[in-house]
Amino acid sequence: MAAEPWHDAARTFLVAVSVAGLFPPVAALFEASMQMHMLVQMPLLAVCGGYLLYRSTRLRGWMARVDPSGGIALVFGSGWMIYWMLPLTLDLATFEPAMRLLKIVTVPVCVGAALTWAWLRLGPIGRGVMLLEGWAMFGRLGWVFLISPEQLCSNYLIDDQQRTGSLLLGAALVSAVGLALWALFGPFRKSHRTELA
Amino acid sequence: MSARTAIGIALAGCLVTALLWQRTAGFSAFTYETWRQVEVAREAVPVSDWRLQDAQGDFVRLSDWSDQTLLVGFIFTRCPTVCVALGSRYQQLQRTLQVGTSTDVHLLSVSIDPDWDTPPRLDAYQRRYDGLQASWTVARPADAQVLDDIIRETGLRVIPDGLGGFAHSESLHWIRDGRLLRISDWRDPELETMITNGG
Repeated sequence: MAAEPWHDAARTFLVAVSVAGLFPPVAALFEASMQMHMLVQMPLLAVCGGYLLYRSTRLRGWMARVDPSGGIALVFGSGWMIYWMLPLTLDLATFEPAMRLLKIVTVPVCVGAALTWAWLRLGPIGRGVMLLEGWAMFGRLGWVFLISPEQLCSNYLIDDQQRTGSLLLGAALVSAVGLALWALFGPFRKSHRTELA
Repeated sequence: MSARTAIGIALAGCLVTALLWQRTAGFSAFTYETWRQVEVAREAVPVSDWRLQDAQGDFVRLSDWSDQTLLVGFIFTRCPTVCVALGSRYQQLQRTLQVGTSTDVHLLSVSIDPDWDTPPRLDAYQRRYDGLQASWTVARPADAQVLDDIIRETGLRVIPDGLGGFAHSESLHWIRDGRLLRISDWRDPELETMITNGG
């Protein structure tokens, strides 16, 4: 594996984050607040899985045979992401060891690697749809967390929930505005293309 | 798009929908509290014979009400929010019990803060809502082990609220003959009818 040092590093990151998430004191830290759980641990797991796929020629070769269009990965990855955004699963993962294990094992593969594969395979329109749907999902969920008068998670207090809601909305807004600015002033402007042509 | 791709996407969609369906009890429970209600409605859960100490300082057990259905709510007397609402709700339900002829249902409030909630404090809580001992018992778990049993058996969630109190499940639990039969929302307008019909 010396030829693929980044692949090794990616695997090490994934194993480190996964094992840390199962080790009780670190698990408690990751799950201490809704923001840590949903906006730090889960994205970290997903990014590790995605990065591993991105760096591994063997994994990508395997995916190219199983899911050449990226469609299967897109559908399953989005669905599994919704699964882990439910207050119910967030709660269960904090006190049911089996659900915690399911989260640690499946989020890197079924969300991170799957959505990365879909992204790699999709054209600009497909990627645009993915981004819009992602922002919409973050926006909707953030809004629900922010305005719900009820504590939705049994394990997280309502002020924690509202903070998570604001952060979800903020993340969607900042990335959408950022990307819009990039699209407007970045290298894809029509004027650039006409200049080039 | 090839036929193989289309079938693959359809199967992935079905699989993830099935997993979501299974987890949320048929898209009916998206929070732990509703999930608990659905699960218990599907299959009653056995509970042990909790030993409690009531507001008069006497020790009682669930089996002392073996010929009645217990409607159990969890409270702590320092609670400024939902326990106040729960207290008022029990006050209403007690009125329903007084008006009706049925004595099949007994109200029970159990403290989740047994260290603070001594019998005199439980008594004061009950008095605040004109509670009558005949149809409503306010009690605390006899010891820490009983509280652990209660939490484990009912799936109750209790977390510190950061202000020295607790955030806890607000639902009401129907218990008869050592079995948790149903979990209801305390705001459920059907509660009066259920009480009149003996649970």
